[in-house]
Amino acid sequence: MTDEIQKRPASGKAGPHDDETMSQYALEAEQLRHRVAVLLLEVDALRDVTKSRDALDSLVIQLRQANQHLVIATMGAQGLQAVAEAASRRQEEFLAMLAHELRNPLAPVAMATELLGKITDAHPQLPKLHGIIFRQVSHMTRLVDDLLDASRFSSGKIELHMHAIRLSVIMESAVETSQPFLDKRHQKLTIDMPAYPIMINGDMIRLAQVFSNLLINAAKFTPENECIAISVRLVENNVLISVKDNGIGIAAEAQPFIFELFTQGFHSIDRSQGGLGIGLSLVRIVVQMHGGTVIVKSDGVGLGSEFIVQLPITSTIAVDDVSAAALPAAVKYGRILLIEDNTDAVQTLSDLLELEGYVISSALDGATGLKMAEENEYDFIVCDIGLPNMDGYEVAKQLRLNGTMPAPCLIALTGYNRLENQTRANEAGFNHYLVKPVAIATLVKLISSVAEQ
Amino acid sequence: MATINTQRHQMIRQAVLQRPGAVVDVTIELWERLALQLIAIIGEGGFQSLYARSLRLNSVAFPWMVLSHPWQRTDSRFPDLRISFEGRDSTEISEASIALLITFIDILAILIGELLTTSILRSAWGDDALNIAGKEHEQ
Repeated sequence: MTDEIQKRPASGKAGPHDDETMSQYALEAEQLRHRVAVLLLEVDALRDVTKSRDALDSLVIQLRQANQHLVIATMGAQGLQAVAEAASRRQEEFLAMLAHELRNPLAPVAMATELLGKITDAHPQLPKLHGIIFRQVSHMTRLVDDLLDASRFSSGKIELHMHAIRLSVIMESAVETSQPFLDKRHQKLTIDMPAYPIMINGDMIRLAQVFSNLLINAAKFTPENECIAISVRLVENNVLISVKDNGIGIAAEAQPFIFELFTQGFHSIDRSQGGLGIGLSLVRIVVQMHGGTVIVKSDGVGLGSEFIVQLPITSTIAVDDVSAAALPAAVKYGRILLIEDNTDAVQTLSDLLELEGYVISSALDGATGLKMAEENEYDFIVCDIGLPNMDGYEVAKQLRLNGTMPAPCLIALTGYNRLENQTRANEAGFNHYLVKPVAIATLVKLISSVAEQ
Repeated sequence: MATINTQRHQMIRQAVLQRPGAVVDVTIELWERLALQLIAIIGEGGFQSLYARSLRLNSVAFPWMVLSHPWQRTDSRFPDLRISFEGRDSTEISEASIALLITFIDILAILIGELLTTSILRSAWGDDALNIAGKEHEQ
């Protein structure tokens, strides 16, 4: 193209050919301009791509660095967690060992105190000194027991013995334990609970401990001569038990941690109401193990506290229902023999079945149960399997061998829930097999259906 | 989730034992390839941290498997591992190697998810390792 331009005539006058050539040049120049513009656009586009790629590369580097920091931080946190867990385990082991070691010397001290109590007339100072030692040993025993419980719970070594229990029985036991603490501070306890039985499937001792802990706490942190209130109400299939006081209350910031082990929300100036910060932690653990919850409510320091325990219930029996329907059935349904070695279970079952209109007899071991069954007439025999001196299988077997007439309906009520146990019970002569914990309604329904046949 | 873990563990076992006579070399090769892929995502520091944690978690079962000096940019990132394996019984080497990789990859899966972990393993070790393990698991 340059050559062609150079070949143009040097004269100033343009001929027809020249015009043609000029327009050809103009066209080519235009094409060139267009081509250059396109190339410039392409260069710009490439520049943009390069910029984006650089930006992307930079982003990838930043992401990698962020990932690196995240991984390092996570691994660091895992390491720290492992260290903390190991330290916590060592602490728990130490506490367990400490509690055991403290308990060993405490037992003879407690026994010696008891013996000392029998010779208080040997010296005029002795009654006073005995009183001091007795109170302090009792206090120390309770602290050591709490410590042992704490170590058992945190190591998961606690085992619940579940039975159907009346809430009123649990509360009676809790009040009995905590009454001396209330009496000491001249406090009054009011209890507002429904008259009808509320049944809970739970561990009697542990649940009583829950409410005695709450009551003792309330007594400690409520002024003398004041009142502590227990109220019970049903909400659907749960029972809500409130323990309310007008004591020193709990600061809002302490409330979220009040159930943590070794945490105390309230500190008296001289720590005279001290403790180890275990009681409320045990409350929460035991309640949770029963499928329940516990919460604390307090408007703040000096404004009292309320602890509300929610527990699932197994059944309730309304008083009106019992008086209207169950009592006349007594004549119709007849007599039941309970063979069960757990006295609380016997008591509860007896009370409930009596309310349903049955006549109840009971035996606490297999041999006595068998003897009673042979000497008396029963329509039903509700028998545990694991029994002292003769197990339930043997009781059933002997009864069937002896051909006791009229043959009672034998119901096994046991904690053994394996198929081979049930097969063995059937072979021994049981008609029905119920696994504990069994709702009273289930047992009553079974007995009623058999009675109606 | 348990099935995915089991499959992955099986795959790792197969990968380590693919040449029973050369477990140490295979192990180092697996680690090198894994490191190459993973360092691009979590950086050298992230990889080292994860690797050190895995070693620590296996220190009770295999106390001899240690990271004795800081990572250096040499031909191999895993000279300590090779040194640790020296003089050990081949069964012990295999078990330690499998355990270390399983720990490392399980943590990785928790951190970045199953999908990405599987994708990284495929890129690092190839489809064959995963497929062989999958087939064996089905049988």
